[in-house]
Amino acid sequence: MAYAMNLKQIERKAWVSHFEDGLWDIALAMFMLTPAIRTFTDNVWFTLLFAVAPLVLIGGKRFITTPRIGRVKFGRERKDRQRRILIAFGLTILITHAALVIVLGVLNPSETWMRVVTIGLCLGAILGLVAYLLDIPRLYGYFLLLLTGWVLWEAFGDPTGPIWLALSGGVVLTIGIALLLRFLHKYPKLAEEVLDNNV
Amino acid sequence: MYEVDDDTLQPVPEIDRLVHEPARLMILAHLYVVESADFLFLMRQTGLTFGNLSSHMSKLEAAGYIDIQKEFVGKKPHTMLQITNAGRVALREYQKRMKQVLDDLPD
Repeated sequence: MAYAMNLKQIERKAWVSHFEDGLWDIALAMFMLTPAIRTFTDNVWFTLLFAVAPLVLIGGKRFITTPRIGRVKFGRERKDRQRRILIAFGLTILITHAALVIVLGVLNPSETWMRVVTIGLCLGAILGLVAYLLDIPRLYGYFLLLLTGWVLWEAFGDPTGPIWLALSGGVVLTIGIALLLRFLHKYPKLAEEVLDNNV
Repeated sequence: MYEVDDDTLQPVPEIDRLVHEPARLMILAHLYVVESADFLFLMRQTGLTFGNLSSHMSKLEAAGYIDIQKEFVGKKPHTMLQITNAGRVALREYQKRMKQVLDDLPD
């Protein structure tokens, strides 16, 4: 049993184990795919994918993840860190929203690149903070994919532009599904009677 | 003849054998870094089998190093495990003693 007595690493390993299930990846992919899909179809029901994404995340955590890897309450240090970052996250959303309203609504630039840069910077700030908040490095990669898809969409315009965002979303979805399958294989569900009599 | 100073041998006998056992050390280390966790979570994180974990848990509970709390998740009862203050002190003390012992090893 090779084991390094590094308490910080143990805590981080415990934290990261909650992201091995690929559910965050799948939910994010749904957010990326929805606007792209909507441009290819007039069916308004596809917009509901936005609402389904959080349900997939919450339901998946409850019915797939927790029964397989158990329940944990993290320590005060991680909770404090999350609280501080959540406040920063809220402020960032307010500031970026104000920036979007001012730049796109009031100034209303005619050049496409200015719109792309504004939206890109705002998305980058928010999504980078989400990656930092969750402390999961692969999310930075996803957000680069999202930004790339978004920028290429703006650059190419309709109808070919959305394909880039759909491709980015497709990559994230594929990784998410692969992670989920690996998670299901690695952590089979244990019989409830075993766990009920655990101590 | 090489003389052994009794004081230098002090840390070794003072190592807490209950904590020194690798599986129990792992359990305590995991509980040390979180507020509380359930049995399944510890099983997954430590890689211990059900029986092994259960038996070590009982020893740690008997020593007062961990505390077992019953709570409800929805309508179902659920068992959460938490390290006690005594457990925290024991782990820190163990770390200190081991460091002393290993620091004194010749190169």
